Amino acid sequence: MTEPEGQYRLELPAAPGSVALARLFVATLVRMSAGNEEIVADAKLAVSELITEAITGGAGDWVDVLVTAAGPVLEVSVGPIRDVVDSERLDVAAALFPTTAVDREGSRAAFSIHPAPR
Amino acid sequence: MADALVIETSRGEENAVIAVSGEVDLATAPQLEAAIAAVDAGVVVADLTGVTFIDSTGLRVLIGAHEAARDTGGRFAIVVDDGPVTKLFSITGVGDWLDVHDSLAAATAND
Repeated sequence: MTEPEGQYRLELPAAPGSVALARLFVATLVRMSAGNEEIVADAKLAVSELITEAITGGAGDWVDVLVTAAGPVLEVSVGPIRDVVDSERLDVAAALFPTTAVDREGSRAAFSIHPAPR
Repeated sequence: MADALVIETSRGEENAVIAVSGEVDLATAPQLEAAIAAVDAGVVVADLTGVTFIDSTGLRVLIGAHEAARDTGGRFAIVVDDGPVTKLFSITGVGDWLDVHDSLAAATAND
């Protein structure tokens, strides 16, 4: 399977139905980078939490997921995060990926995935 | 676009069982919440072994059901397997105080 390179961006309506699409998008790219289904599951949960936070935090009409492949590392970024409505969602993402952080200035939340070798 | 959430409710003499299959997230959690609220039984068992994904939005529904049952003298039990629900319970620690079982038989044993 060809590993992803560069950036991949998915823009979605800020609506509940978009959460599953965000998961599918991230899961596909993580699978291309790693053969580890546990990491895929963790990434799905983390992005689900962050995109839900964006949608419920008054993002406006659109939210987006940006996945950047930098060598063996994938960075997943979600925005806009206007206001942190529920820090517990961020806590779940951070429990899975300790790199989870909110950039309030940039209005985005992100985490990095270091896929396990196949 | 989450996997369609399929909810099947069955009534026994002493309890009601809500079998849930699919993904529980911001889009589908209201459906689960409504299904739980619609059951009029002192003991409600949520069989989540068919859940393929759940995030904290779904977890909130389960916690709310647990608290509502507690407040009315009822019981809300949850059946899980070694899957995504257990993983989320482990991450958040809520499995320590929710009424969680690994089989329907165990969940209804005290009814």
